[in-house]
Amino acid sequence: MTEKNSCATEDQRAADRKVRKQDYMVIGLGLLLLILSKVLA
Amino acid sequence: MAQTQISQAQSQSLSTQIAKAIPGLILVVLVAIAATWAEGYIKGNFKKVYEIAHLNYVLLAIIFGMLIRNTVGVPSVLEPGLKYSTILTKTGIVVMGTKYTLASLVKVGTTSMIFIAVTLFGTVALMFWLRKRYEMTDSLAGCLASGFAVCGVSATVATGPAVKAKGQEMCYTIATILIFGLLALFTFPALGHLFGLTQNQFGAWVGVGIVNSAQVLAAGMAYGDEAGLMAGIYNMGRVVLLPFVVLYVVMLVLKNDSKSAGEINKTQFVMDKFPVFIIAFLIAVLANTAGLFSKEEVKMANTFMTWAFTLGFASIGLTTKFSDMKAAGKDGIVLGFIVGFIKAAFALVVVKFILPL
Repeated sequence: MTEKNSCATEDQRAADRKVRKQDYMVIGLGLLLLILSKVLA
Repeated sequence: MAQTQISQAQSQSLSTQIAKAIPGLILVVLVAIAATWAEGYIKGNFKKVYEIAHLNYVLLAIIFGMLIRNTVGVPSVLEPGLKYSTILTKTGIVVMGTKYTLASLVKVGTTSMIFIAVTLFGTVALMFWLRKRYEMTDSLAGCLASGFAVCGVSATVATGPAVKAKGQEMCYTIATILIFGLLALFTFPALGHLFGLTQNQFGAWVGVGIVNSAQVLAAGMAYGDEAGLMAGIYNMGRVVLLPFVVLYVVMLVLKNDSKSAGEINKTQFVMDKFPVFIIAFLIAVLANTAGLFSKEEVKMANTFMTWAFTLGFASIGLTTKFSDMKAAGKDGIVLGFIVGFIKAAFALVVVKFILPL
């Protein structure tokens, strides 16, 4: 793998990690709101 | 705005990020409250205007946000709290799961998924066919193709590094997508009425015709609650296909570079890009199908969903700079708009005359 391709792969992994981290945050917040809906209703 | 969305991944501790975000989030909440209040005021005092312009809280949150950003401006101390639109709208989508049952998802059915897939992959193919007439790099064409095919910002961020796009090419794509979506947001509801689309037909139309997920939901809700729900389902159908569309785009960009194309582990690629928040949406749907939510609980979840969306839309308005749109230039916008228009026209014909909605 060339140096250029290796950099692009690293960037890609970093972007994927960022989106995945955001999705985990969404899952946590979403489930919290679902639980709150049950508690507060 | 686009630059801000791309460069969110900074290594700050969670507590520092939260502390920095609070001032901006307060502004977002104030705009959302103002939009909710204004909807009631317009509905009560200017019923005709409300009915004609469909000025509900969704559109008002975006309009108020844009007015603030592009007139008095937003101080830099508020900026960190304005970049959570994606998280807020995705959270709204998860909670939205309590409005569906498995039966309602199945009702959308195989035919609709085929329609969504054909539209998405067709958009990519069309973009790559038309791009030969325009001067642009493979990487920009790749970003535009996946951005206009799937769900805008997420697809662009997922594609950019894979096709070795420069930061400004990703920003350009995001700006183009948001301009298209903004125009669609304010014109599609009127067109829906003009063509006599039902709530379900309109929801399905914007679910594939508009690109950015938040704008899809905003347009759907501007037309009506049922249209908003249907737009949510179709948007989910698109989101599921995101990794496959991005893989297709990457293969098209790299087709002249067989060595790089050969290096891609396709299974790993799809796994890495799979939008895992869908799992939480499905949990909400399954919980509702199993009867775990009473009517009151669904109503409470609906309130949370509405607020998550209103806050998300207010954030979008507050980060929409007219100067970014102007700076985006001509060629990409022209190509993006041509493809976006053809895709929307195709989707309109299918939802109006072919799909059993």
